[in-house]
Amino acid sequence: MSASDTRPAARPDVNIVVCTDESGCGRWYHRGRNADTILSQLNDAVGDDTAERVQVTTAGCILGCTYGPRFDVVRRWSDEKALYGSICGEATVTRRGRVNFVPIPDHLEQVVKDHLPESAQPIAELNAQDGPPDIDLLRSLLLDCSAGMADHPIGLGEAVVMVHNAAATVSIPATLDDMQFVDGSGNPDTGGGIAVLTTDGDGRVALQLSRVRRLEFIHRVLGNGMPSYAIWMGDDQLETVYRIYLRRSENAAANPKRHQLFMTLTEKYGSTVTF
Amino acid sequence: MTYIITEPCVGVKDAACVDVCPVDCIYTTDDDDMFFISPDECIDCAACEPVCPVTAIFAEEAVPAMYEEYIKINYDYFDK
Ligand code: SF4
Ligand code: SF4
Repeated sequence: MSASDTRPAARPDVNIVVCTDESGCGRWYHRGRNADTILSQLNDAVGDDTAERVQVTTAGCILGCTYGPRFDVVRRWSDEKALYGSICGEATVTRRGRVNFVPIPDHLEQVVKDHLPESAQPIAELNAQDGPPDIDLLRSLLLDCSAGMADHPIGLGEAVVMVHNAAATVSIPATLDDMQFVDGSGNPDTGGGIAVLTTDGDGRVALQLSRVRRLEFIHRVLGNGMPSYAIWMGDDQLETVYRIYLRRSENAAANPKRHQLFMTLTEKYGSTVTF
Repeated sequence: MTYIITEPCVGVKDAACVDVCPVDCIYTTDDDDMFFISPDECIDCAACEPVCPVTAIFAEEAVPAMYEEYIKINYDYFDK
């Protein structure tokens, strides 16, 4: 299970244990990175200079799933531990009790620096590094769904959008090809924070990108043998707030291409993406 | 299944495994000459295995034949 076969001769100052559990954190993406990416970025961040002092290893589930990569940093010189994940702040974890999650920073050199004795930051202050949700990643993912990708010039096309709250559910036929991004005043803006779909009856469904913290690509084969394709989005309470179900296209030739695009999107972003 | 600590730990007691274990299930006392993993508490995460500097820790089913007696030694430690 070890990331490298070399066990340091001297006692390291810091151990970093990355969860690569394929049935859990190992398969989820956060800001475009999964466990493998995090592992290789951590190994790069340690480099030759600190290789004897910081040991990066892998493990199965270390508890405290945050729907994205997870690793523990153990300061052996001070007997403290920091739990890194895709969320920020306090949470209750099975067997580990009340813990405080530190968000995984974009640059993992920071993690190494923050825990070595000579440059250590107090663990309680590391939480302040959380950034806003990565709406650029969500926008480009939605754009890929709408317009297709380099080798897949056809978008996902016909869909039903389902929006619901505790009291009501609404299902609206729409076409993903018509997706547009707008700013807070409703003006078209390719970098806007709101994705708008025009529905079949000329209505509009607007999605605030900054409220989406999690997205799942779901591909199933139904009891009748027909495939089903859905994209579910959840908010920061892990409530599913926006679902897109693909409808069968009347243009039969388009359906295999839409299938290929869906599978390519799942490969590119991972079946679950957190922002 | 659980993880088992074997002979190379005897007299070393580096405690790297204790530091990384997410559920604090590795025990010893000053009188013991090695550490022991509680089979009931271990969650089989394998975090401890690669950090042991003397390669003393193995998954139960992967304990080398020469250390097999340590499976019983670990279990017995918690059956007292
Ligand atoms: S790390 Fe290895 S040597 Fe150290 S206490 Fe654990 S099993 Fe024993
Ligand atoms: S396998 Fe995981 S839970 Fe079990 S002793 Fe090792 S670190 Fe602790």
